[in-house]
Amino acid sequence: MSPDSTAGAAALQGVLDAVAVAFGVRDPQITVAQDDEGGLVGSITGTGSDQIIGRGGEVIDALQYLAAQVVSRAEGGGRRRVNVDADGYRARREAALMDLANRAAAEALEFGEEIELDAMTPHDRRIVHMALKERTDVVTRSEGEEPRRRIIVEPAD
Amino acid sequence: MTEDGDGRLADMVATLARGLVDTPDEVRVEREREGDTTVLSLYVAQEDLGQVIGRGGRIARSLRLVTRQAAHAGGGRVNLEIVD
Repeated sequence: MSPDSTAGAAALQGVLDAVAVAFGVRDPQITVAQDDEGGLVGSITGTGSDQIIGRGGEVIDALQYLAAQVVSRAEGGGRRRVNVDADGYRARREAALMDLANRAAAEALEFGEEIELDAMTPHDRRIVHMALKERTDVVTRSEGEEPRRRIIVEPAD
Repeated sequence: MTEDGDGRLADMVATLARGLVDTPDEVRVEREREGDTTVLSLYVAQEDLGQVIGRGGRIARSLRLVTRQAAHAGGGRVNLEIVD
């Protein structure tokens, strides 16, 4: 890692340490790593870390947004992607979204019509699009304006 | 919430705020109790106010959400005020 990215990782570590303490997480394990695409990934696990998720992930998303600002400043204004997870929430959410995508695809094929999913964040829509990207029997698209933007799954022609 | 819990909340807010501003040395968090609610007052340099409020108030909103949930995890209530 370059000196700048080391500063970003250190800043992220400092934020997550303070968050784990403030939330009273017992035996916290905090990791900060770089992913394949050069983004920073921070994670807090330990008893009570599920409190950091919030309803519909709103708290972990807010923390991730703040962490991205802090990392960007520590790195002198870079716009590196920063992911923050707590109690394995992101992996669980991704598995649930992929499951939802596959069920929507099965339904679209069974009834031969469009299946409209509930509105989701851009991040969540991306997971659904990616889950069905390789399939040749269904196609996905997004419709509507944020924050009501949602995915339509339909049989391929 | 306990005195210790309040201190840990204030430390988290200060850590986040120092990471957001140009002049971290001027970040200060004061705390007081109003009944069962902890009031945290965040002070930053005048020029740094925008950095802790954010476009459309998004940073302030995120700070409040995370702080409120941390207090909730400890069985307490908190009000985060950004002092301008």
